[in-house]
Amino acid sequence: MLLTARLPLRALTAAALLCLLAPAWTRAMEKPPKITGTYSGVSRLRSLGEQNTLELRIVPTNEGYQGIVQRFARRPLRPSLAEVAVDGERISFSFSDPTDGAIRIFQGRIDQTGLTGVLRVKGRPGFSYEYIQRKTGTYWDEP
Amino acid sequence: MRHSFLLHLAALALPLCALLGLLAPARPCLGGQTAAKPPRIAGTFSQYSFTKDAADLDGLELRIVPVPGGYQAVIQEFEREPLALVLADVDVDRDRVSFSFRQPDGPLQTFQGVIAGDGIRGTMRVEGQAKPRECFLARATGVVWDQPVSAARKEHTCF
Repeated sequence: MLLTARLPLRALTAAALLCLLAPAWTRAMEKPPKITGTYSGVSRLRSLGEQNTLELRIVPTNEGYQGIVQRFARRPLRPSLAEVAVDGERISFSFSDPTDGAIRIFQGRIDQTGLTGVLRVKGRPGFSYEYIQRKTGTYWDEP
Repeated sequence: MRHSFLLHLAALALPLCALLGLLAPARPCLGGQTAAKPPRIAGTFSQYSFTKDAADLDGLELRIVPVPGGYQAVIQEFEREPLALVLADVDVDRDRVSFSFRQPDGPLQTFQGVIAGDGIRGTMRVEGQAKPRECFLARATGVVWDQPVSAARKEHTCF
């Protein structure tokens, strides 16, 4: 009699525990995002002369991840090499811009769709929010 | 009277049209100039192969982008493992392209080639090596890193 009364209580406790642990377990089982690839904020729907954005390619090298960044400030600027640091889904990279000599730092998150984060210029106030979409190929690969 | 005038006009116009039709295709070449469109310089070009065990990659990826004052190339070489990215200025003379680069502590490498719609055909000279290597870098959309690994391997089987 006592056993049958306790059974639903045990089942309820187990169910509650499962509900609490399941999200954490699912997160732990999630595949880490693919880091390498091409990311671009350039839109084909607008003229290059109207765009202030960047394109980034992340590649693995024998010394870790490396990036190449090309900024667009109403025209394509000279590309720069970037050091990329990844920690789980967190990603950051910095590069010295050959156009103005400033060091730009991006800090954000990476997922299957792209990069989201903020871009700052070292030593200057302010920042810009950036969403750089994962793409197959760069703006220059298409006719 | 009016009828015969129209007939005369037609008789004159017909040979004139025929003459124009014959000359039209040759017109762009008059004066020694061709009307051929110059090839698109910017883009991604690659030549790579997976090793026989399909575990490693050999080859070269090149991305040419326009920059103020000309073109620049981003180069990644593969020697069973991906090497560091290198930047190089590209000299362009119509369809001829050339650039030089060196890996950290590596020999100077100079590429000279001719660019077309499907890619760049040329030679790579490596400092200290007598014979230049002939290569064809096919125009591609994206690089090997833009694709899932399995797809890239299927596309670029070893040779």
